[in-house]
Amino acid sequence: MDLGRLARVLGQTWGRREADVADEVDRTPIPAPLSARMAAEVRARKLLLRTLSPVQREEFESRGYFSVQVPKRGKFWILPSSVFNVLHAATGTSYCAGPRAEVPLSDLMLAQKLLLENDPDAFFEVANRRAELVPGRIPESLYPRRVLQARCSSSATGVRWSELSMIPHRDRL
Amino acid sequence: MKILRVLDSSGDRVIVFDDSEATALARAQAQALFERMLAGGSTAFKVNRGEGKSDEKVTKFSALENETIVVPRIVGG
Repeated sequence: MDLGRLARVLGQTWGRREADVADEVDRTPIPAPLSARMAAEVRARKLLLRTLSPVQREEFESRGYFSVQVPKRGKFWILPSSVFNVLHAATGTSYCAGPRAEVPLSDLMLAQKLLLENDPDAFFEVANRRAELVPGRIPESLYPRRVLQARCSSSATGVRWSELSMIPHRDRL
Repeated sequence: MKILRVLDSSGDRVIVFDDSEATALARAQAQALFERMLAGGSTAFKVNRGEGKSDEKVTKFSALENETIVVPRIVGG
């Protein structure tokens, strides 16, 4: 933010009661595209929850991600992320593929679940992949959390996701 | 009643129909959409089938059951 804009914002709010500012924020309409996207995500999440198996639903509600068993390939996790969010438990490789059309995140996760469980060749035929973790360094059950944590910390420090797999973890330096 | 859902930016587009004359128009719309989407590379799955049946890929409109989800053509990200 440039200094002129900062001064204008401070001038508009300085000395005003917090409640007055909050009221004004509440009255400010949310731009239509954002509210539409939020409504779409709510709708998609309901459909996802209704379509997950009971075990997957429990995983998703408690951890934010769920696992799928892929015929002949084993266990994968589907993470709440729009890129490289399909993580192979056995190899630590992550995969990235989804509908060409723009869809909410929960629809992306649903599409990946349906494809991985019922038509995996179609998914792996187009998916891009990259090494995300070195297998065996941490317990397998911690892989999803480690990947999500790394993405949070990397975005905070401005590191591109595509560089993640090449960067040693902070406590390994 | 049968439900056809096509995933899109709004969450999903829904068409509800059955085999009755009353929903003939909706059924025709659903069939046209289903066949157009699959011809364009989309994939359809029978879901929430009840009685412990697992989800299943479906390619024929006549084989649709209670609920079907159409996933638009996927690409690598």
